[in-house]
Amino acid sequence: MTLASLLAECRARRHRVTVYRSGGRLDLERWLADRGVAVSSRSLPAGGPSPFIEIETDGEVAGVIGVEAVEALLEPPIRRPGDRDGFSEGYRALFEIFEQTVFSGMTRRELLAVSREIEDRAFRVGEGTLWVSFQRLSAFSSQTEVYRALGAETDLDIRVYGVEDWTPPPISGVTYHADEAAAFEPYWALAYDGGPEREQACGLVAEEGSDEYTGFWTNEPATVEAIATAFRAV
Amino acid sequence: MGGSEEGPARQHHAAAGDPPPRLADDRFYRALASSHRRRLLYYLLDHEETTVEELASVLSGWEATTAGTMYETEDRSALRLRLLHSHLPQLAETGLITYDSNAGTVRLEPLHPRVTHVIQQSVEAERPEGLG
Repeated sequence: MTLASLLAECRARRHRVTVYRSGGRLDLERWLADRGVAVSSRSLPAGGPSPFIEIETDGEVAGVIGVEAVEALLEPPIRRPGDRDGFSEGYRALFEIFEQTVFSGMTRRELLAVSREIEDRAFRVGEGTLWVSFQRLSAFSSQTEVYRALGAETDLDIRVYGVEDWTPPPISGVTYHADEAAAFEPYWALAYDGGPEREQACGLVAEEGSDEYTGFWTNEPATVEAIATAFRAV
Repeated sequence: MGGSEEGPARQHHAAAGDPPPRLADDRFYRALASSHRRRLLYYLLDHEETTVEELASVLSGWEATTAGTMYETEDRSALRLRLLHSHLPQLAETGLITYDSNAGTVRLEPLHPRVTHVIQQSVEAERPEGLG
């Protein structure tokens, strides 16, 4: 299965978010609507609960969570893998709740935050395979420090893919695949197989458009395996 | 027009100042002996008629925001089952709501302002400011 077909498959799923709130339209609603997610709202009594959202996938409720806990979407934390400081549980939660939701209009910063979440899981488990595409290897230059730490402090097998427009430094635990990696050109993709902890498997597929990305992330081992297969096929 | 068929009219003119009999009814307090049921009634004070699905969502969101966690599919399903099998039948039996189990709709019965007040107070006291 190609990354394009994976993205198409996710796009076919119907996601909708219902925002429950007592006041006016929230920034989160605007953010979700701007990213192509169907959003509606319901009113809450003024003395009732804090605002929250309910996420439905194909008509089934996937989760209910406070708006405060998912506001990290608007201001995603960028941290080093394994860094517990400023760690946001909320960010972890929204990784779960928006699993396989296709977002359009994603910024680089937003995708970087998702990527960090994946790298952080790989770091914490410390074993297994992590596949990462960088379109062009020069984009990897700003990430070498992070990957040096990942390579040095874990037993991860890290495979970096990208068109070779820059010669990356040798990093222990990291192998580069630059030959026919042009196949990844419009995609920003990561996959971590979870190593011995299959439930930690996670991945990201995003397609670059003009100045923005459309993509999804996943926690589902089978979908992660499909992304890994796309990497292996290169 | 025409004569009343009701015979001797029952006296319904409980002045706003008179406490309603419900406030001396044990079943009323048993109905309120669950934060889910108090919140459900509070929500109905604002919406009057709603559905079981919406109540399951509202109560899940209420729990999730209070506890700072996420309510997943199974958590919401468990709450929905408690609504169907416990909370809604009990509230209907107490005469606080009408519940159509076929249509899945829930409607608040007309309540005396003092009863409404007790429900409001019981939920509004939950908020951190209320703990002062």
